[in-house]
Amino acid sequence: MRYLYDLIDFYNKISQFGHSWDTGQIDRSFTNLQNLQEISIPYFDAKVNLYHAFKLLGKLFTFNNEKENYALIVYDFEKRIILESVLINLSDTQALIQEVITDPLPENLNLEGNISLVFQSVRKFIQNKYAVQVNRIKIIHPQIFDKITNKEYLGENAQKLTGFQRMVFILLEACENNQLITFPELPFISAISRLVKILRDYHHIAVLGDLMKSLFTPITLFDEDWYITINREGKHPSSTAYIQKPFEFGRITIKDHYQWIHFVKEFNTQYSKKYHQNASYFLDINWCIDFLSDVCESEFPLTKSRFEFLLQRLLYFVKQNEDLWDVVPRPIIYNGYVRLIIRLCGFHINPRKLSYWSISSNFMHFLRSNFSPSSRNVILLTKKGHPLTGFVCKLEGYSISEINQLPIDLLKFPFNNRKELFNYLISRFGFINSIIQLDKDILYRIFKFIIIDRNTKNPLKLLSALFLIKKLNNMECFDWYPPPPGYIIFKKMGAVRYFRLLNKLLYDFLEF
Amino acid sequence: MRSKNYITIHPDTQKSIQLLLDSCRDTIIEKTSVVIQIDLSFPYVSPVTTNPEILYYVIEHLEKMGVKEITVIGGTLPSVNSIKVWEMLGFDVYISQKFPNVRFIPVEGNLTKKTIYEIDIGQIKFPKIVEDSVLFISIINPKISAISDIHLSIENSMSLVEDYNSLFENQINDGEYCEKNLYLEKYKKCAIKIHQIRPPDLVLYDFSSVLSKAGPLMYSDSIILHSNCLMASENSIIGDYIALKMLGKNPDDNLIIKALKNADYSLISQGVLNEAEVYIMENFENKAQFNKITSWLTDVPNDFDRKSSFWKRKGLKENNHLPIIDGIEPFIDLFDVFPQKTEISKGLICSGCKQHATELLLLLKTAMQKDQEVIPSFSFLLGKNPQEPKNEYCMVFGDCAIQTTKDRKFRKKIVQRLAISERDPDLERAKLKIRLQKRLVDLRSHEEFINYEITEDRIKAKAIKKLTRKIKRTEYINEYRLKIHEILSTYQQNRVKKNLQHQKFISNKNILEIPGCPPFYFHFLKNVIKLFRKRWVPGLARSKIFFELCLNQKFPIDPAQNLNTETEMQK
Repeated sequence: MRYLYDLIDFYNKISQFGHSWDTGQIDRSFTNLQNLQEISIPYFDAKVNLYHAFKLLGKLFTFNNEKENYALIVYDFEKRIILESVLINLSDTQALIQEVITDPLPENLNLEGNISLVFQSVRKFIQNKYAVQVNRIKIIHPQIFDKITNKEYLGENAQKLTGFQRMVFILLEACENNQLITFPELPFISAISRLVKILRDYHHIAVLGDLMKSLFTPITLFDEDWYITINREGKHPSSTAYIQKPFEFGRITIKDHYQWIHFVKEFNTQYSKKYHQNASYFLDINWCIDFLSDVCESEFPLTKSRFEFLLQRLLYFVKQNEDLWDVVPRPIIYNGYVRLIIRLCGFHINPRKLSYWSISSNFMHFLRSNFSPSSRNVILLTKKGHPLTGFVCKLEGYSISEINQLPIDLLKFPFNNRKELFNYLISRFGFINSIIQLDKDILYRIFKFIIIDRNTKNPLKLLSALFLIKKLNNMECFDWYPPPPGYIIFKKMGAVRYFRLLNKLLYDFLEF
Repeated sequence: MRSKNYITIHPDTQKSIQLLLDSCRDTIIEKTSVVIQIDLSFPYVSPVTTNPEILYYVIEHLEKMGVKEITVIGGTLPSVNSIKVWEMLGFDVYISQKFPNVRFIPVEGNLTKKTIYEIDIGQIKFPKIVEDSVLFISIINPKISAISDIHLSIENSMSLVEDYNSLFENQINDGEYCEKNLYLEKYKKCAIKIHQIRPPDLVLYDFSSVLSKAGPLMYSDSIILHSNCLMASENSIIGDYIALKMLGKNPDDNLIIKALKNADYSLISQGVLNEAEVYIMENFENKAQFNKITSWLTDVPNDFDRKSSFWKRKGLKENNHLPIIDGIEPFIDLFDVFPQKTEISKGLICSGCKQHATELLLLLKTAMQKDQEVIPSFSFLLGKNPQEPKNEYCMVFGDCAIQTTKDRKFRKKIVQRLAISERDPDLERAKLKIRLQKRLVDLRSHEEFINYEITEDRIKAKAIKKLTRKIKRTEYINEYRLKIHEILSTYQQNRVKKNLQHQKFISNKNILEIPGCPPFYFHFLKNVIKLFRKRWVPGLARSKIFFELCLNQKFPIDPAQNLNTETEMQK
């Protein structure tokens, strides 16, 4: 048991705990649960309280919609041998796992050919031997485990990437090379395989990784009884402490209608002084799981109604502050007096009254009238007019079907002459509908404002948003060639005036 | 009349266009100048306008085949500036940079004289460059329309005449225009006659994106259907016939094809259809689509003298079967567009008003998606003698509705509370009577009380003011009470009748009149904003800015167009 030893050990401990939890043998008091033993999560360098691991696994099963038994098989595709296998028998009660059976399948079992026939043969074999009905099989290549354990994998890039990004790359590679097969297909895995087809060369995610590193804020996902905080390892520039553990667990003591407010206050008193972070977010884990499963289960290419539905869900989430999410420190924009002053200046902003139903329909209309059904657009990221990177995105309907990175030779082309650049791109890539140019610094500052700077207590910092918007008038920062009608209006009116007009469309008119 | 039609289904548009143009080499070869017609109806991307990618590849391949002079002409909607649309959609960048010899010409045309029933071809100025062209190619996007089910090449030729909408307008105020639905007859005649001036030599049908349910612009209700199909036809009429079959429609139900089959024109007959040749690609990757096409095509022996075996020849069947593009819905009904906020009351309408009214409502619905929470519900009146509206806010659409609703009740608003100076004189008179009778009872005898007549002179004389003595007699008081009760009850019964005659009215200013027969809705957006007040309709105000960019002129500013009711009321 070389590959699956850690996993089987983990499942065994959780099944024991689950049985005793279900029968009531465990004391459910806060002190007892806090003092339970810590177990290590397989393939991650992290140790977790047994109770929290139990709850986390339950959430993972709900995300994957796994309510039936499944068989995990480590299969060598070249030698055609089953190296290891595990049968996990789930239970209907609160104890998640009923039984863990090791090596239920022989080495010589044939897994070649049509996957549905393979599934039926495995199912028959296990039914005859163990009287257990298997409803899903997962076939994994042993190379994946070698890549995870070998920290020098991905060579030069390994030093730049965090542990999370490394795992993501390994997953993408596995889906691309068909080294991870499930039947019936897991929606999560099918979504990732679709992503792989879109991102032809997914190593260029590392370009945007630098952007996200500096914008990372600690996130706590909370449930009824417990919470988990995800933090970046190391020292954050604004914090005083060195963060050793990426994950921290805790238990919610007060169960009240206003538990949000109590919980946030508690957390703020404990952690904000310790870490001195600029902002920290709190999200409802159940909503996140629902939304991600909706995204994974949707068929591609997305239809109009499905895209609108997902967008409306997301906007509804943004609207429901103090219900589904919260942030510390409290943003000043939720203060009525501040909103009154902003209103006197001509901007109507009320994030609690975001009209999610109209923004989605207006956005759909904007997409349909400015982007043709199958269009190819080039996105350039620049810095002070000089190009850094570029992507060619192919849109089909309401979803992206391809993203290709522009070659480095092209970045030496003179970008001042748009016409020649356009003809050159058409000769290289075929017909192109438009070129969108964005300044990387402006992008970073916009994201920073939305995530971090908006949550200040200093109202003068909100003015920085105005200056940011004004900068979009500059062609070096934002440009669209050839300009569609929407962009022509934007240029004529100016960014601030256009934003003021848009404000009336973003929020509900009736506030009470 | 032999005609060849080629159908391709391929994900690469460049390849499919090369195949189609190579197969139509006989029509293109040895022709040095070409005129291409495209659709520039409004600055929205395909399927409202032609896909620039297709035009790009067509021009590229024509230049390779030896064509030297290429001109592009774009048909637009009335009052839309085609040059602005050409620039806003980026055609300037796509085409004139790489192909500097290609020139773009906007639509030119003038209407000098109009008649009701007949239109002489000499009175319509068709673009001369198209009339005299050596080779005329048109690129068409099938779109849904309210009048003819699907807008194809025969109707597309109308867009080459500037302001073609005025051809169907009733400018002589003929009373039978609505009852006989003359708009529809004029439309059919115009479409066929203009098409016959210069029918295109080659028609390219772009089925990659098809607009259904609501058109011809992009509305919130419109549905876009996708496919990889392109078709080329050497005869536009038969091409339209086949295109309708591909979209799952029965061509015999189409208005224009019915007219073409009549004895007036007799351009389509069974003999003509039998001679139609349809060629489809030999190697189809998608078997399902191949089966769909072949369901309405018959096998024909391979007796064509073409050297390449890429194409497989077929013939047309009579009945329809599976369409290539599924899911085309019919044009949305007028009552289903905006039911949450509008109450539509229609009388006798013709197809012109119906078409323009549905398009106006669709436009309002897309622009006012956010504004719906605030604007009041309004009534929409159209046609001859529409029913009474229930809402205060009204839009009266068309000359028929305006003329037949001039003296209607909804034009006036009843005022419920009157000022002190305008109080009901009968009520005051009754109160005076009661006051006088009280004093009479106190002062006079019973007989004098019964016989005493209260006249106006006596009231005016105020003779009773000087009487101050009181007499308390319970009998008189009882009779007095009964009499007061009689007076008041008769007064209340008469009040309802008198109220209607003597009640105060003011003109209802919340009415918008949209004149025209039929009216073209682009010009009236500003007035709709005035009706609902600007701060309530930010979405519509934003779309108005967008419309002003692409129209020839700004919206008419004269507000007198809408306030005709007040001047008539004053008269």
